[in-house]
Amino acid sequence: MKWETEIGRILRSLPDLPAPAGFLERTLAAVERPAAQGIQPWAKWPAGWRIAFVLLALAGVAGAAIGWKTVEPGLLASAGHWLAPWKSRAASGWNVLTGLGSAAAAAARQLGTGFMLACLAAPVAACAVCAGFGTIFVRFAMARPRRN
Amino acid sequence: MTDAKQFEALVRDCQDMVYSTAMRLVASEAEAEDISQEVFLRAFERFETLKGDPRAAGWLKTVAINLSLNHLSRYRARWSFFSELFHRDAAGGESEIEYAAMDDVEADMAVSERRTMVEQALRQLPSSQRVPLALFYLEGMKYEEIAAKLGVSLGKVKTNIFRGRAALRKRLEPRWRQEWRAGA
Repeated sequence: MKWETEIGRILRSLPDLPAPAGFLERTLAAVERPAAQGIQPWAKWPAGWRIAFVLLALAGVAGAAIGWKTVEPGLLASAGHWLAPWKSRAASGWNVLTGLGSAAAAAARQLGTGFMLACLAAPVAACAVCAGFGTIFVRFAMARPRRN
Repeated sequence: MTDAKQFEALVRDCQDMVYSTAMRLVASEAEAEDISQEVFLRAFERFETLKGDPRAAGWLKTVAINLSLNHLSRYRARWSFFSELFHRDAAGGESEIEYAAMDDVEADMAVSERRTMVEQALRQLPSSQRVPLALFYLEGMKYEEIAAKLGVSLGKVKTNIFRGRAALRKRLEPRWRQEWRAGA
């Protein structure tokens, strides 16, 4: 009898493994407390919970609106004061970026579209070549030598 | 019988089958238990349709297989390229296979011992070999079905099953011979 045939025969006849001790109890407990695990979709919540949730959400929105009306004038003034230095920094940064963009556009006009595209394609091609050679190297280096 | 009792009976009847299916595919007790529990949670969600259905066990097995394969592809795909390369030596190759008579070994070894050895050896195989082997022998799937399930070519499925079987033999043959000599 061939070994492989015997192994196949045994594999086919393997009995079920016993589930771990306490699996039944743990599974039933997990089934009974799905809400505690946070996996119940909102649509499956009990009606009372859903109504309470909607009321709470409405109260939250109303509270936020009333609160905003109360603090709005002072808050806007202090926010403007706090944001002023950041605004000037952002403006400086934007000026630098637009300057760089203009310089790039001028360079592209002078050098020609083909040259610029080649400059962009070169690093992409280099990455592709590196990845290709790397893959070939790993494949050959790790491959088991064939025996005759 | 109430729904709760019916569901408990379903879990009790099928827990070993579901756990075995997951365990033989993922080869990890903790992961197999998590997958098995997820299978039964899904069964509970659609218990209205599964209740009293004679195909419930088949549905559970299919879900267990799918969840196990999803788990493997999600958490282990990144390792498959290198694991396949590094496991080639451990798994053995086509050229090393020899066929020898083992009637004497069969006569002397207890079937349960051999099953335990095969079970342990199966867990040690890389997933690229263990999964198609388990689907073919334990789940009774055809090569074409396995290829479709795993999203690989038919040739790769056949090769991996062949290699897996050869790797099992490589692991088991010395131990079986040893047992046979000890028994003689």
